[in-house]
Amino acid sequence: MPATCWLRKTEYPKHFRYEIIPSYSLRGVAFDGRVVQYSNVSAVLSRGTAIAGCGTLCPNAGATVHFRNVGRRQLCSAVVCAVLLGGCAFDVISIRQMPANFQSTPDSQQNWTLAQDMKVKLRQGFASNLKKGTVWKQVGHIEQGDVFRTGDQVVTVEASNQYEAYLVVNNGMAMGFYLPVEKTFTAADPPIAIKTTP
Amino acid sequence: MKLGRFTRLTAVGAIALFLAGCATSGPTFMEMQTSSKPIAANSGRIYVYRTSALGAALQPSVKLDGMTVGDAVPEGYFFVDRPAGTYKLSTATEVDRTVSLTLNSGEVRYVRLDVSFGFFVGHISPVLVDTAEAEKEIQKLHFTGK
Repeated sequence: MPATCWLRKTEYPKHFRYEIIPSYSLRGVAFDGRVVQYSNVSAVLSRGTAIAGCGTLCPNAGATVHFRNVGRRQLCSAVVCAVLLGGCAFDVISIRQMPANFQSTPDSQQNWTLAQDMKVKLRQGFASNLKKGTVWKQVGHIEQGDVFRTGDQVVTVEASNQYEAYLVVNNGMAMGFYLPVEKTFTAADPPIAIKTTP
Repeated sequence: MKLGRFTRLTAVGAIALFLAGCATSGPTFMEMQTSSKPIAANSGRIYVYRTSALGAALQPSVKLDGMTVGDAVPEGYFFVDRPAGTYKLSTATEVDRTVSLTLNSGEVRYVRLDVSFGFFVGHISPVLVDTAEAEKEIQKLHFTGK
């Protein structure tokens, strides 16, 4: 009874060698000069010609493995499709987060007003623009700095999904955002000085 | 090729009926304001609304912490009252889209369901909206809650 198999790739200076490992599913695209040989069922495939490998393997030594040749046009089509599908990868971007130990500071009197519009950049995703005139009140503290919240605008960070966010400030620099639902911190890239009025 | 008058009238009628069928019914936000119930103590309210009629056939369920609370009906809105806390509101078409938010006692939050193109079907993305902006957008939308 035929068994399916994997191709395992090992690179050699002038050609690729594919060893067929019994009992696994065969998948993948390989390069093919298409010499199939070896009693223990291996294929030596030289560089340059693509194949889409799909076939079955008899578990007995000496079995033949069948490859389907893929022409250049088909290969180009496959690449174009891959690129298009890559462009449609819906959850490619996610916010980089790290756990944060939030300590609430309900008695804090630290308030300030943002003196000018401000854009805090993130390494991945993006954050709301912070609006001039918004009043910020300290609500807590995390390792990266003091955590401030405003009721004057919605503040979020966003990639594929959106997260409510509080601003984290340390020595007059916006260090990033604390995400209160996820209880994580996402860093500004780079940290940016903020101009405030008391 | 000329269409007969009867054919044209029939086509126009059919389109009108189709569009009428798509129209969201129910009282508008403005009409509901006087009769909407007050928010319970220790709770807040989350309004969920969709302004766009784009992709009208696409009306996925809206879930709050995994529990269905309504549908993404074009030009419709609904609200849910929940105890103060943190929540995740999500929709699912060919992808899941989520917004996470906090809710304080007596607070009102607004989440708009934005429509965007997808690979096979559109995406419905929930986004937090400033109160002032949301209150303008929601006025003429129809209540679709239960």
